[in-house]
Amino acid sequence: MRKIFVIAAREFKAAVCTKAFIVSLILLPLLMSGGFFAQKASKKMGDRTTKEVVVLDRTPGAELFPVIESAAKLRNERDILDKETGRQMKAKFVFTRIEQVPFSDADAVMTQRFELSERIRSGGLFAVVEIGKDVMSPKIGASDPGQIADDAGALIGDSNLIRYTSSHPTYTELSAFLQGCLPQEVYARRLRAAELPAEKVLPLLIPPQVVSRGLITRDASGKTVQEDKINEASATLVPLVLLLVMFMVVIVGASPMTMNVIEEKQLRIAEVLLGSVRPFELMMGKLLGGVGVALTLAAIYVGGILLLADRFGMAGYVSPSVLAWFLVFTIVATFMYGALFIAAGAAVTNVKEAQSLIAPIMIFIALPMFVIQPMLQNPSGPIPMAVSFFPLSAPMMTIARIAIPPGIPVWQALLSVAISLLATLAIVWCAGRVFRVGLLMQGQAAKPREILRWIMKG
Amino acid sequence: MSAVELSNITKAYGGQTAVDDLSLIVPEGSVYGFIGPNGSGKTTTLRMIMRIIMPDRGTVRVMGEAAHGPANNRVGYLPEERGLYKQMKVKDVLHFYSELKGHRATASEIQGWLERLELGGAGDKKVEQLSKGMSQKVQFIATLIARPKLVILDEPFSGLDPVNAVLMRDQVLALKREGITIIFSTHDMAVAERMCDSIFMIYKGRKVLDGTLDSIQQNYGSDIVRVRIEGGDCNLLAGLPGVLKVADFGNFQELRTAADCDTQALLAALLKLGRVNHFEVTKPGLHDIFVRIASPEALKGETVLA
Repeated sequence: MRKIFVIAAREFKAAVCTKAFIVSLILLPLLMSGGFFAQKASKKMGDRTTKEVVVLDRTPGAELFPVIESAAKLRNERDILDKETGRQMKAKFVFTRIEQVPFSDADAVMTQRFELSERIRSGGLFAVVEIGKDVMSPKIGASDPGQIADDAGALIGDSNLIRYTSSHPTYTELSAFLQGCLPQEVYARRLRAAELPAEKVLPLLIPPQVVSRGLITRDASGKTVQEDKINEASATLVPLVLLLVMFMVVIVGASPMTMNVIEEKQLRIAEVLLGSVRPFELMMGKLLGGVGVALTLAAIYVGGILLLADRFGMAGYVSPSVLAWFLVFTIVATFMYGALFIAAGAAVTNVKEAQSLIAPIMIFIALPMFVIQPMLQNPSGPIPMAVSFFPLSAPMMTIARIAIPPGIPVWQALLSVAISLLATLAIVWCAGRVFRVGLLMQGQAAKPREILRWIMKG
Repeated sequence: MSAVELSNITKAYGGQTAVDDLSLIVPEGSVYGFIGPNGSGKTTTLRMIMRIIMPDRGTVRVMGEAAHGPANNRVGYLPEERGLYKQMKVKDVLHFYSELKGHRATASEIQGWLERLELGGAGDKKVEQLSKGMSQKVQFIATLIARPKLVILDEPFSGLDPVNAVLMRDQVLALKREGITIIFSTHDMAVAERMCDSIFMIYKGRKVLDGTLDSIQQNYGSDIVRVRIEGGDCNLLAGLPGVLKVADFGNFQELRTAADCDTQALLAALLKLGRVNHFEVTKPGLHDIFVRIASPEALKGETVLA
């Protein structure tokens, strides 16, 4: 028994001192926080080049252009500057109105649009905004030259809308600005034209929205209180993060075992080791070492995530019981996949041959990733259920299912643990046999039939 | 009690019999040389003694134990090829191997060993930084670090320069003086002759020689005549009566004679060929015996003496 720990300690030390471990230690947090920081940074280092926009205002009397112009003026003077330093943070929008050709001449309309498009392509112009002639008094069934029958256009007609054309479709700030400054003013003007009282009608235009709110519980004093709202983002994020963390942890903790075993074979260390310990002890030592690595990494990751979550007031989204299950499944997963990786290393003689055995193991590890979508929609649907009871993918799938509110019945979690444990025992037993025979094999890699024979006959 | 006792062990890989009904007793405190051509079953036998592999039939007793047990901690094994983790520091490797044998070597113990093998400054080096000879010496220390009672050395002197070879040989002889049983395999018959109390030769999985050097040579009789003649034509030696085979070493020739050869008559015949400077009737060396058993001619059907 002591020897198992001697081997586990060596494996642990060797793994933790490798570059791979240190890289992975930094990599995942980098990936996860990268998006966050990129967003922050992009705000700071945002696009500050002035956007020249041409406006064709077809409304009678071109009455909307001044609305845009004054909103843009306000924005350029106030909103794009950093409040504290006064430094410009965002791009200036400069709108110029040009005379439009008559809308009745379809050819002329299209020609003018083409010329403006060319100016956009050449880079002189950022966007063209064309305010439809019927925006102030929309007409059902109105249409427009060159209209594309997309959902909005087909139903309402382009002449009732505001066309926004740019060669930078991903830059949404400009269109968002227009969407922000125009509707209120348009509503107000339409009502005035129809001689309706704005203060009465505007409240009627509040759209009926669907919002989610938490369940109601009774607190200690018997008062009914509303639970924290189940945040949709966190309900999706928590299982994904747990899945990703376990994936990383298993990869870092278990997958190097193949290489270790190959190294021990090639350097004849295996001979010396087997002269001192039983194959089973050697394998258990390796697995324990791997579990140690996995748990260390998991502790660092999860600890870091919890710390961050706490800072942003989201610590409540991960319950202690989910973390406990995470711990259980991390250990089981590392044991199970570790045994597979060890067997793979024992069955081959060099790294190249190992690839063909590692690939299928990786597919099983990644299997839960492929069913994320159906799982989020219905964690107890047939596919997530099947994957979470399939031995080789059970640990990761089940932890993800547990993490999605409202979680799963305890019996399902236990059944999954039982299935995983049974599979782990079977795999460790088989891998032990492959390990014992394969560890001393030199030269050629074993054929699948041979490996099967080792498992059957020992 | 004998250190190692093999009784009728047989081991086959696939259809190939590597070791065939082998029995051997290695007494405690002896130095036993394992010889035999490549692929004859030496390493398989050593591995069975180490309990790295199990015999298909027969029993292996090491210090009285019939299975993997506490006795394994008292056996040190030096594999033919090096078995050290490249990325580890020398002293960490040695500490690890001592712990595997249930013995926690102290830092001063490890340093003492390193100095004894003239590796005093290597403790903090990584194994991959060592030269071949150095890593072989580290491996040697790893074999002995847990103070074994039985040491198994597979080709311990191969690849060492003469200085290091002497250093290692002295260490092995020191072990012998401490009463530690030593089994080593070697291709170097001169080393085996000089260092071993007993010789065991395995050939095609079967034991073909076993005993002290004297008793083995006794079995082969005094059938070697070593001669040096001046002015004689060596090619004529083969035609002399009673001479079976001539080995020409340049400065002298070794004649293998038939069992009924009259050496006095042979001397008389030699005198007729030229001036005889040296004439010695002697026993065959281990090298000779080895070649006789394992040479292609022996394969062709000459009966092998067991």
